[in-house]
Amino acid sequence: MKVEISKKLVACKESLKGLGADRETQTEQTKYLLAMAMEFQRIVSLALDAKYGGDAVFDQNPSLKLATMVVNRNETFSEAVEANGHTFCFSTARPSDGMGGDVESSVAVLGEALQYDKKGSIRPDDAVNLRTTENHPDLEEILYHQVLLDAPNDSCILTWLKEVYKNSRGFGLGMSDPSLLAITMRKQSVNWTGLAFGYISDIVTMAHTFICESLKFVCPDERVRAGLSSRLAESLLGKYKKAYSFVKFLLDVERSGTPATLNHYFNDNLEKWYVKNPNVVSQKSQRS
Amino acid sequence: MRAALTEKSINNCTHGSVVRLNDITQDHPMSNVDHVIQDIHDILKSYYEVARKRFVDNICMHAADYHLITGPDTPLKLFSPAFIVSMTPEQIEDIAGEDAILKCKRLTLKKEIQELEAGRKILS
Repeated sequence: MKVEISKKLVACKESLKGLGADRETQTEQTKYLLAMAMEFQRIVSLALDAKYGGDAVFDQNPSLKLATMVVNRNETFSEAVEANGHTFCFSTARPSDGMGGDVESSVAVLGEALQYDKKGSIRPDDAVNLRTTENHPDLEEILYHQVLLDAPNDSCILTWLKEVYKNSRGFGLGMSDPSLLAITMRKQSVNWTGLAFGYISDIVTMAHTFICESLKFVCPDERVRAGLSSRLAESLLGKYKKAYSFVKFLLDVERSGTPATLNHYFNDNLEKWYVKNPNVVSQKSQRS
Repeated sequence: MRAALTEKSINNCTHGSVVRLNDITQDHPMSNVDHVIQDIHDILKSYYEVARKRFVDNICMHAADYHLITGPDTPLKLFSPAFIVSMTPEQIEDIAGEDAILKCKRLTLKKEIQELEAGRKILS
């Protein structure tokens, strides 16, 4: 009889334990949530320092390895902008290599450029993927939806530049208008918008997935978790939107602002270019 | 400039370091317009390189890292003890309070445990 009672007692106590901490009084409830929040921040700390050995959860759930994912995505972004950020490939051909060409072929090439310019002329075989993650359902309203981008056009940059120059030059010999750099830079960096917004959409998705998964880990109770999620949602979205605004700001500065740099590499690169092709330099000095 | 021309220089003659005329001139002169276009191209190319690297750095450091990952006010830092403490008692009760079913279960179990322990005491 006594054994039976003991058995039942143990079972009851186990069941009670399974219901989780007491949550009747306000103090108990606050304690319950505080413990969760502290555990959550502990996971965040480990994740940001990439100390994945600090908790088994990182092995069980790779989407928590946030630092690694972000670093990898940064690299992909940098490579993508280098490979596909420009609208026209820069020329490596030199004037003596026949850039002059005959008028007809120039026009034909220009025609191709204009066609390339038309919206909706994405060539699937040349298209570039902007995203590496799937959309998270919570984020539909803010994620960037364009998924493909045109690859750079590699045939007619000088023709395009000639057209721009002829359509915007004023009086005066030779030296080009400073605003030409702004005009051409804007066109040349068209793809930056898609690449940057695609990138930030991925980072936002990664951060949001991390938050959702960590929440699942520290808060197994679905009802409590739902309540927390909805309290966090508005502020989270606000912060994601801030990141998007900043991307837009950077795009505006680079593409619509006045081109400027104090980076001496700008001049170094120009010099290097003239040096590799002293033919051009000597022609210049002949002109002056 | 000097460095690259040095590549084409000849150094073992009586006139010091020299460069062949044919190495630095070409036979097909460009027109004025072509020159200007080439200038524009080179400046654009140089500037684009610098701007591209700067842009990528800024996007990664400011937009992503500072705003979303490691900055002082990122989404990751939202669910913190400070967040909990900022909630009103009603909000806390709403989220963390037990629903009726759970409350009932807990009460029932606690009562049962009490009775069982009392019973055990009597028997021993």
